[in-house]
Amino acid sequence: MKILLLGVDNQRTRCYLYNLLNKFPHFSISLALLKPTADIQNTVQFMSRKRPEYFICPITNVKWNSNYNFESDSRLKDVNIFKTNTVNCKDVYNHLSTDTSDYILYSGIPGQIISDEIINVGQDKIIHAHPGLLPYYKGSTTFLYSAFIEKNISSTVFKITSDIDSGKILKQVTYSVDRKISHLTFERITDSAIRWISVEKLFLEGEDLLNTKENLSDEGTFYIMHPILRTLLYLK
Amino acid sequence: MIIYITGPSGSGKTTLAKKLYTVIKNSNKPVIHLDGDSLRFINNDDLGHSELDRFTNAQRMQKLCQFLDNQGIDVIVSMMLIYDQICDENYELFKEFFHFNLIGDINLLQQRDNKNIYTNLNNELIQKSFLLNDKKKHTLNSNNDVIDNLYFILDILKIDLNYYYALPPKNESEWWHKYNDYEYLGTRFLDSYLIDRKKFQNILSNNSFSARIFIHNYLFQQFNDESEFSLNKHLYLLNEECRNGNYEIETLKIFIKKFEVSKKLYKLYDSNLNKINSDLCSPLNYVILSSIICCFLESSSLQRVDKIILINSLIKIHDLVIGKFSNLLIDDWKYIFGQSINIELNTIKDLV
Repeated sequence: MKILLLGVDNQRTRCYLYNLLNKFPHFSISLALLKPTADIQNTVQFMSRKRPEYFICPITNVKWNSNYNFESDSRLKDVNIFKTNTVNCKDVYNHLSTDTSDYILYSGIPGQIISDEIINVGQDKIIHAHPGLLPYYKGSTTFLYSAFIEKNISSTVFKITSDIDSGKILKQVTYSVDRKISHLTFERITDSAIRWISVEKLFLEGEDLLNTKENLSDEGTFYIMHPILRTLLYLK
Repeated sequence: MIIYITGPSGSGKTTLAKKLYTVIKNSNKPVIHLDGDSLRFINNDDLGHSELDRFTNAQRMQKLCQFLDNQGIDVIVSMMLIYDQICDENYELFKEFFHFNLIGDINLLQQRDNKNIYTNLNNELIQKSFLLNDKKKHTLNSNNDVIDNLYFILDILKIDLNYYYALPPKNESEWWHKYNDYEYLGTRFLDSYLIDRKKFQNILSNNSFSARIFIHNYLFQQFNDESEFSLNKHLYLLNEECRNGNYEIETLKIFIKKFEVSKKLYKLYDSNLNKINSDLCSPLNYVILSSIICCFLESSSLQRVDKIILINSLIKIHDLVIGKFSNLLIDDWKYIFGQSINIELNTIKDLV
């Protein structure tokens, strides 16, 4: 299988790539890396902060090397670097227009919405792991909400369409959160790890054939969780 | 500054002192918290809890306070005090001395008797701890919420309350990005949020004023004067739903989406709630929307998931109003806003 990882330079992309290369050595894996400018780098994810060499998720046991220099990994078939603050740029468009992968796994800048031009040029191949059980948990920080409401966390891999979090669901996983976890572990590590688990399951088992529910209303849309609610979540 | 928090065993002296310590420490002032038991421990536990031993311990505490005060370090003392003599001396010894005395129902305190003080000590000693004559002391009710007592103390000490909780600054448009920051978490953050909200709570809380009728009349007047599609008209209809007990939450969720996406409410929306232009609405509309959200939160049929979605947006709307518009609110609107804050805090308590 041919996979293109279209991701920003952050821990989630590292998690995906580390596990893709180690668990699927027979795949042909390419990387299209988005390198944001310094002024938004910190909003991308913790790159400047001191971190351990390996991140290990206490819930899923997913592990990855947090300092791993993936750009020079010889196992990658192809590496392209785009110095851009947005995925919606001409260079990315041109790159995707000639891509022949089976899946384009997206791990972009948090909060950024992919334009219709990029979605269309991706030809129904762009997939995204959303940290929530779709269609019930759409929107932002949904894994915090499901931990708060149901004491579990989920991830859904789906095909990206112009309707946010509403494309065809390919695979879902759920884990219960039955122990006390620090906010840094939960938000830095578990978020990426649970997403990877659903991607891994997709590549191992293939797409779910069950016709999943469509939900185009905003009924189940969540917005970024206020730190007061996050505080209550971790105190619980 | 020397602050004594006194009271009988189980009255919550140490809990209150710890919270006060956190507030002062976060305002970057040198401060130490000492309690009676920790001083005994420092001195190798050579003193017990007899009347004489307690007096000796209180004298030692006083000397230690002098030593620290001379070096410009604020001290918070929490201990059971049974002698007025110590307090009288403290007012003379220290330039700034404050005495807060926690008093509560003795039956309730006995129920909380974790250290078996009430069963092991003679009643006379307990009575003395209830009967300090210090005329300058500030009396606190130990049955109050600890945050209420903390707020009272901070008010007396004139300590800036906005030491930690992040409200939107007046000139910054993207303040909500702070919601992603990992510094804004934890019990200290929660306490500072509660303290901040107390400022707006309980305004005219015993008034029989009906916020819903007031808002209805206000909106009715407004939208009669405005174009067919206005925010006020939509809010009026939503408020009518609340008044009639018809809690269809879907329309409210569209408003919440409008607010959450931009953190702004615009003056004119078409019938599908798409904005017509970029004219911003009056700050009062944020208060109206928060009040309508509260009506839904008070509905017994509200599902837990919806409750969390609503409270999440309500806190943000309140942040915005307190941070940017609170000086624009006239008395009636302040009252409505006070009610809304009460419901926010009650909902938070339910979720804990």
